[in-house]
Amino acid sequence: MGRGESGFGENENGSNGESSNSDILPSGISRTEYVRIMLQALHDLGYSRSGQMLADESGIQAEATQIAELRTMIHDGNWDKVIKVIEKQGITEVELQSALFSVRKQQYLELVEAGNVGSALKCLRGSIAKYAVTSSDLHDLSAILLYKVPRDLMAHLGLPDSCSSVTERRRVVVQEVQGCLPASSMLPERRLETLLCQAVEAQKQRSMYFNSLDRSIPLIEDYRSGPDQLPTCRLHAVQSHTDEAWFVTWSHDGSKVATTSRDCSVAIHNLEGKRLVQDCILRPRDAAISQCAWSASDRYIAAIGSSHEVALWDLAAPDRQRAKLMEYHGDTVTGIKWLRSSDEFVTCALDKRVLRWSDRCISDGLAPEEIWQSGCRLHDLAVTSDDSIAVATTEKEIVVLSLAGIIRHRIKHEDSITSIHVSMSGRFLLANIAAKPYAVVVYDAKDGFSVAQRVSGHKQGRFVIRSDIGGVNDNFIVAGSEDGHVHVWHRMTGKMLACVDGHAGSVNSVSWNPRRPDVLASVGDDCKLILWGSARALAQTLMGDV
Amino acid sequence: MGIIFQSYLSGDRIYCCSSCRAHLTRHEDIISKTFNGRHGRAYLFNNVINVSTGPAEERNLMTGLHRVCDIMCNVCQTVVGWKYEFAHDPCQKYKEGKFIVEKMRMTKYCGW
Repeated sequence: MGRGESGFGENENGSNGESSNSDILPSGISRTEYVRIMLQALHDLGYSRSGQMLADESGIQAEATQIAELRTMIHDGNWDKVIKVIEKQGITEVELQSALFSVRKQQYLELVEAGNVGSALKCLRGSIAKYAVTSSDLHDLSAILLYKVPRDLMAHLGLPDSCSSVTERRRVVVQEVQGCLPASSMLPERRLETLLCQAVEAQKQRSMYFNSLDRSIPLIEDYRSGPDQLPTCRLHAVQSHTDEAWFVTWSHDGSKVATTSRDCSVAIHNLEGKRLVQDCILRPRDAAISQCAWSASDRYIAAIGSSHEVALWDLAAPDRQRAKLMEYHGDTVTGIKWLRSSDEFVTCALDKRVLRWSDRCISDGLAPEEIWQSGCRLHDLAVTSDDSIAVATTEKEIVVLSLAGIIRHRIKHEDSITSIHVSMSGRFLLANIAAKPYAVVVYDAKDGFSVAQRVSGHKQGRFVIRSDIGGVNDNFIVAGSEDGHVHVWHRMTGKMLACVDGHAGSVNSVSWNPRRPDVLASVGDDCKLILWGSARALAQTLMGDV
Repeated sequence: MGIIFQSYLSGDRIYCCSSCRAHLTRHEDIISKTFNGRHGRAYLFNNVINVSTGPAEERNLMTGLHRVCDIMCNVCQTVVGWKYEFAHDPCQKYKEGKFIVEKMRMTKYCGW
């Protein structure tokens, strides 16, 4: 921890008679570092006189004068002086190369933009060639000269966004140079603010119930959150089906919710404040409907049931209640999900095939494409964020395929999987396991489908119970249960946070609102759709904020 | 009731429930064909799927006192046989954990 070395603790050893018992405060923090970041904070806030007084009183400078000048020099574009100062800093060869490259690159780009081709070439041949880290960097930079409109190429190559101003880009150069210099000589920007934000974020993460979209960083008190942030209060119960409700899902924009039922209908409700208002009821034909899915744009909704058909509705069309029925599977269709990138969907069925339905299948009736033929029946399907398809087979396996049908991954289980689901964010894959101890297993798709968590405590096995992940940062796992309760667990720790009595009879499916982390919907055998909200939101309404 | 979860077997010779055709077991899982149930002939199987067990009770069967529980098809709720939980007679221990399915309650899936 070089304090006196870089020359900024001005009156080095003697510092100042008053303050220095020792440079390390009882908490372990170095006095010099503490004062330096305070000085930087004061200057950032604009209180330069106070900053100067603090510097005088403590005898400590935020940065050595040279370094402070370096910042100004970069902002002014005095490239040669900048190079001289950097070279004098005595940093390692690699860092030096990298710092000088950033500086010269910025100089070169500015010359090119100003149209000063001659000097740009001189800079390229002379200086940059010396410092270029890889030859491809050099080639990219030279290529810029060849183009008539350098801006487009620069944006295309991912170089600093040419739309932003010169000042912005020079700031970036300051940051890059600062990254190459030892941390103690040049302070990272806004260091005190960064530290405070990190501390509060850590407090928020540590509290298990953190589920708020509020981005404020409270400094005076420690962040506290409680179960009142979880959506465990019944807001509204709707009876829109005449028989068991089997599936519920929110639209991607969080404003509508669709439920399916054994009474052969799909009901759509709009979320208005704290209530659900019925939008329409869709009836394709007389067959119980097991699942439905909203397209990525929420324009289409497709449903499957105990028949071989897929029913599709275009909610933007004038005759939105008319179902388009398409039969291309040879057996009961068991899974349907839309892709995330376009209005296309994939289905799986007991006929052991996975089919992909493009938008031409929807509009022109073209036959869907078979992506995969499995050796065994398939009984559920989910799509991850990069449009990989996860299929649950009856051989106790989850197979992850690319859209081209290439198997990327196989996850084997000891027991049957009753349902699978991917969170709305696309990152986590959930699997409900049939045998004791009736777990919900969470796989992290970003981490090669490793097991992120395993939770249990609810009851399933006989019926298909569906689960979901939601809340801020996908913090919570929620699942229904055959005993009528809705269970909520914390994803990181696996601890059960809430177990609320929801329905009379099995809770078949739950869905967490993707836009509002304090709203949840569940359906069950009592034919009801229940909307859940957080106690905190309710309390706020009572106080008068809507 | 929810969507009843139904498992499937792979193979050529599958027995299914006679009322609802849910897969029950395979020909390869037969241990013995020489049993009798309440409705005639019954087979002893190694493993049966898509069934749930009822409460255990002590029953005096032709081969002695056993603790068994009835098994019901998950899909249609008909009693298709029983499962041996415990045998008092040491010679009958081999039956523990195995299933009896009555011939009248099952059919061959897709004829074979």
